[in-house]
Amino acid sequence: MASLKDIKTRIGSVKSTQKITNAMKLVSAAKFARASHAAEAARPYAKALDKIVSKLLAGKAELKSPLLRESEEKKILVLMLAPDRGLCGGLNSNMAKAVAAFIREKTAKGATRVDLYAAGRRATLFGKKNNLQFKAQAEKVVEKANVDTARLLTKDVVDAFVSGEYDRVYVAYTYFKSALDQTPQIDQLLPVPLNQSMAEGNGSDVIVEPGLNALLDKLLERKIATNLFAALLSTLASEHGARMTAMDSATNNAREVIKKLTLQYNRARQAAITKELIEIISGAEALN
Amino acid sequence: MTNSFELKILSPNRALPSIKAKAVVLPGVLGYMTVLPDHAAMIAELEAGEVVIEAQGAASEHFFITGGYVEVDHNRVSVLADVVENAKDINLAKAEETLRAAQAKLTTLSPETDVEQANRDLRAAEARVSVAKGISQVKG
Repeated sequence: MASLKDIKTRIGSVKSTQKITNAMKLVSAAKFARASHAAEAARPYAKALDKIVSKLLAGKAELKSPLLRESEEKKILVLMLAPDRGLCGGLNSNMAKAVAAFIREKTAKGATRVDLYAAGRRATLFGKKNNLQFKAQAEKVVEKANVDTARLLTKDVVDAFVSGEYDRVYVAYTYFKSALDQTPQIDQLLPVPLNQSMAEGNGSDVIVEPGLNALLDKLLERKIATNLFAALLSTLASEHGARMTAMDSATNNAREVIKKLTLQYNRARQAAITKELIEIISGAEALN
Repeated sequence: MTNSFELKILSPNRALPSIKAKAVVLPGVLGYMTVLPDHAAMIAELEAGEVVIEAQGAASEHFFITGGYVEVDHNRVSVLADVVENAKDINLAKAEETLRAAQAKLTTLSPETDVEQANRDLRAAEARVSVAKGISQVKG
């Protein structure tokens, strides 16, 4: 059995761990609140922009934009948005599993090349572990989830797509449902998917200034940027939500461990006292 | 015939509460335009510039926006812009500083300078300063 002193040091170390996990939980909770608030605030804009895009594209077959170019799916780019840090439960490993499965599926369907655009250190780690080709590596992307970041990413992937380097571009991010529930999500970015909600439009009598094709490229690019911005915010909120829950349960576990160790400590102390008493009593009896 | 329409101004970072407006002046890429009630359906691209809102029963409000889009659909007008700032909230000193930086960039050209982008930045900075000063670019 461990000595009294050993148990005491262990209690001390678990207590300081608990302090750290608790502090991380509080920090994540604050960041989480900010991120989910930002995600909420971005929604009306994204919705309105989607409406404009679908209205413009509805019922117009003669649309020409390099961002709509359809070709056989051979060369694929996956833009993976991931946090820089761990300690957020199963978030990163779930993401890695989903992307790995996605790449296997595409390779089985005849894709000759699947490259990774790693946005976030965890994405870089994932790519290195799986021996993927990198299109680019970036760090501290998700924590700077703002419009400029989204626009830079958009420019990169759009350039790569338009130059013909890739046939498809996907974005992999964590979809944020709630603080307890985040799922990996992979969406097609390019060519811009046209199927959704195209039915509602009867956009033929809309005045378009300065003209449909002049407007279209920029508008589509902005739509991608908006989608990416939403994905960034969603990943950020997921990261902090997941870390908050993970750190909460870590704090609870630490409490349990401390309870157990304290019990053990008290038992050992009691045993030591009893032993000393017996020694004193038996010593006194021997004198009589 | 109605005499007002619903105006929403949205940016990726926030959505202003929707306003009942009588008229709104917008910086279109082809020039400033005014949207009145019962405007035909329209989608237009916007430049950096000034937005003037004539709300019902209130003084007109001035905003600075950077490029975006406007959608007009049956007396519902949505303005989508990257940046939306109320004229009252613009820090004039900072805005002027940005303007000077933009001018400096164009006077000291280097091969890496994206001239088009620099020009756009300059125009936006100019518009922002004049909105902040309350010098309306729009007659009315």
